[in-house]
Parts: sequence; structure tokens; C-alpha cells
Amino acid sequence: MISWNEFCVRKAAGADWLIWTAQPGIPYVKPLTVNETGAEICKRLMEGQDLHEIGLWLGGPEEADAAEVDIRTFIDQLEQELVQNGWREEAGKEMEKRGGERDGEQ
Amino acid sequence: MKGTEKELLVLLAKALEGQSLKDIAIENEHELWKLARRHGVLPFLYEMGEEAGAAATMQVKQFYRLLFATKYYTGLLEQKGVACVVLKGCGAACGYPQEELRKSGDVDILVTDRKKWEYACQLLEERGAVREEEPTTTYHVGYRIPGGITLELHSSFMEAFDHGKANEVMDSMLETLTGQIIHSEVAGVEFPVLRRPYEAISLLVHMLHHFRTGGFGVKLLCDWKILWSQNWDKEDRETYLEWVGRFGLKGFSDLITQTCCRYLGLKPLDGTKGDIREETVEFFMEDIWESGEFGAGLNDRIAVLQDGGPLAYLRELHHQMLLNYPHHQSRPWLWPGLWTLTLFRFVRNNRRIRNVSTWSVLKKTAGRSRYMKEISLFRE
Repeated sequence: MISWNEFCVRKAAGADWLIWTAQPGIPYVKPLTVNETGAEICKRLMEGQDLHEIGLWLGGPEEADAAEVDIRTFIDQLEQELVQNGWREEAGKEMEKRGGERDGEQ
Repeated sequence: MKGTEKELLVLLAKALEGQSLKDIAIENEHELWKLARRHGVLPFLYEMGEEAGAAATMQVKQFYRLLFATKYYTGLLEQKGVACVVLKGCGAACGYPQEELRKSGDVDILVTDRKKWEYACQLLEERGAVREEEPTTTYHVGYRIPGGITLELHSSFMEAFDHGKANEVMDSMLETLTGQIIHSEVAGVEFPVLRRPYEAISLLVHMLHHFRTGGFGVKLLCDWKILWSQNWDKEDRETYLEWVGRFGLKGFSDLITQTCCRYLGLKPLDGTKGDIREETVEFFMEDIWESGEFGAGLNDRIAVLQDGGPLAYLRELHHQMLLNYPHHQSRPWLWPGLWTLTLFRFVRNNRRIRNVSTWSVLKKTAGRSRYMKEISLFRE
């Protein structure tokens, strides 16, 4: 699952870029470009909105359920692309490292 | 100044203010792209056409790659107690309306804690950085890091000046830099940079180095405009003016500021503009156009002398000799031979590498040096 607080969306050169900011940096996990609606969905997820709330924004009260399904599909696609870029592997290492640091502090 | 050059400056002034360039009509697209590319500023025009758009997308990708490499290596050094700052690159991009569009090709890190220089090198090498075989300068070591990126680890901003007093000031400044580190953030990524007055000195010295060798292009002028368009408090401005005075670079600083005011719409802060003649500003701008990014434009631009006199040529020869043979600085009996070798190398490189005559280089140097008196380089 994507931890949305580890990501940000930036607008640059006319495109929206979804960036995993919590990555170590090397190996490098490339950002993804998303369209404007995709960027807005990501921003709302980063703000902590749930899928139903975002579905309501996207489809209105009548289309909210269908929109929620679309959003879920969109998130799955993002995850797949991020995995291809090495995200899950590096995220796992990062979590292990943080766990280790916390154990060390204790 | 040519029409395309004027046009590019107007567009850049708008882009640097964060204004859209979408509906602006341009006369000669091809010439404009060519000029903007030569000066490393094409990405700023991304809304104006496909070629600029493609350059901008490539630039954004490169920016993020370099940003995270910077995060990795500065994070490593800081975690191990080595104070360091980012020079140029994403550090200089802070303050741009879209940081990602500021072109950069490598990562530059200055180790401010000079006692830990060797340790810093060791740390990098333990984490995948491969030292480049030939150290090309006396002030940095080049590394190849994963992703095919070049990382330059600096022990100083630039190579030594050909002026003892300015070098003493530089040494005393470098001693204080560890106390002048702050953290900036771009795209949620934090990295260490110098406080604003010191960042400005670093950029000024960088510009001076390029100005006195191959020249520099419009990109660095944009950096200067962005840096001085931010909110400077009185204390920071005074700190800057004090250091720049000690270096004897107030005239050079005024020249750049005045050029930015005239052509990029910079509003100068008190005491930072000086009194440079309009004619000199125009000549300087012509010089910038000729240079291209980092003097890539012309082969016959090699050096600007401290002043226009004949002694300046000998001083430059001596300076180049010291840079070429740093290990023989304390053996003056070898100098006459080394002067001859340096001169021979200069003439040979002009012919073989730069493919220009030495006479052409000297003529150009004399031209560029003619306004050096006005900016009183290295005079307090």
C-alpha cells in the first residue's frame, strides 16, 4: 500500500509529477507523471481524505460509487508503475532501516 | 544587441517572475531555441513550443535524479558528522518559480569542515562513488556515482585566485562556513545550503572564475536575479557587503547586479548596485552573449586579466604556472623553466585543442580586460 505522506505532487514544465520523497535517493525511484485529475486525487489522498470522499468529489452523490472503483483502479496502476521503478523494494529497506533506528534508540 | 537576444531577455524576465509565456508570439522560433539552448535556459520557455517543452521535460527528469542523489550523499555526510553544503545545482534552484527548470548537470558538495575532508572522501567511496582518475582541479575531486552522475566534492568554492590577499580572505571565510549552514527544501527533500550572504559570495566567485576564463552565460545571470529577488534582511545584506568588500569584488558584484537590473528586471537592494557606467554594462552583456553557457561559445576566450597592463599578462602566466604545477610552488629556481613550459602548453593547446591562433586569444583577452579597471578587481 502507498503511504501517501511519503509522496508529493509537483507541477513542473506543464506536467504533474508524483514523487516518492521519502526514498533514500540511491537507488533512485523515478517520479511518475499523472494527469490533472490524477494529481488532484493524489493530493486529496495526501490530505487524508478517504476513497468515498474523493469519489463524491469526482462523481457527485449519484456517481460516487462508480468513481470510487475508478480511483481504486487508478491507485493500483500507480502502485504497479512504482513497483516497476523499484519503489516497493526500496520502501521495504527504508522501513527496515527505520525500525532498526528505533530499536537502536530504545 | 540582436533582436533574438533582446527577445530572450524579455521572456526570461517574465519567466523568472513566474509569469506565463503561453500566448506570447515570437519572431524567429528556431533562432530563439538555439540561443536559449546555448545559454542553458531553454526549459524556461517550455510553454512556447514543442522543442522547448521537450527540453523542459528532460530537464525536470534530470533535476529529480540529481536532487535525490544530492539528498543521499549530503544525508550520508551529515549523518556521519561531516558538515557540508550543496553548491549550485538544486541549491541555486531554490527561489525559482519552478525549481525543476533550472538546468544542472552534476552534483556539487562543499565539505565545510576541512579537517574531515579525507573522511568525507572515504565515506563517498564506501557508498558507491568511484573517484575519477585525473583530479582536474586543486579544489575538488570528481566522482562517478550510480546513475552515471558526476559528483564533485569541493574543498573550496573555486581554484585559488591570482591574488594573495583575496586568497587569505577566502581561507578565513571557508573557516567560518560550518556555522553558516541552513537547510532548504525542494519537492519535500531537504538539503544543506549556505546562508544567503555566503550563497551569494559562492555564486559571485563562481561567476568570476568563469568570467576570467571562458566566460559565462545568461543562466548564471538568472541565478543572480533569483537570489537577489528574495527577502534579504538588513543583517544579511550587510554581511554580504562586508565580505564582498574584503574580497575586493564590490565592483564585479555591482556590474552583475546592474546587468540584472537593466536586462532582467531586478530591483536592487540598497548598496548593492553601485555606479557602473551604462556602456560597461552593455559591453559586459555582449560578453555574456558571446560566451554561451560556461564559455562554450567561443574558442578564443581564455582569460580576463586583473587590469589591462602588460604586467597583467606576466601575472596570468605565473598564475597558470602555479595552477599547472602546484607541487613546485615552493621551488622558485624551477619557475623559469615552468613558465616556459606553461607558455609552450598554452600556444600548443590554442593550436591543437582550441584551433585558434594565440594572437586571436590575446586580442580577445585585451578586449575583455579593458573594463577591468572600472570594476577594480581585488581592490578593497
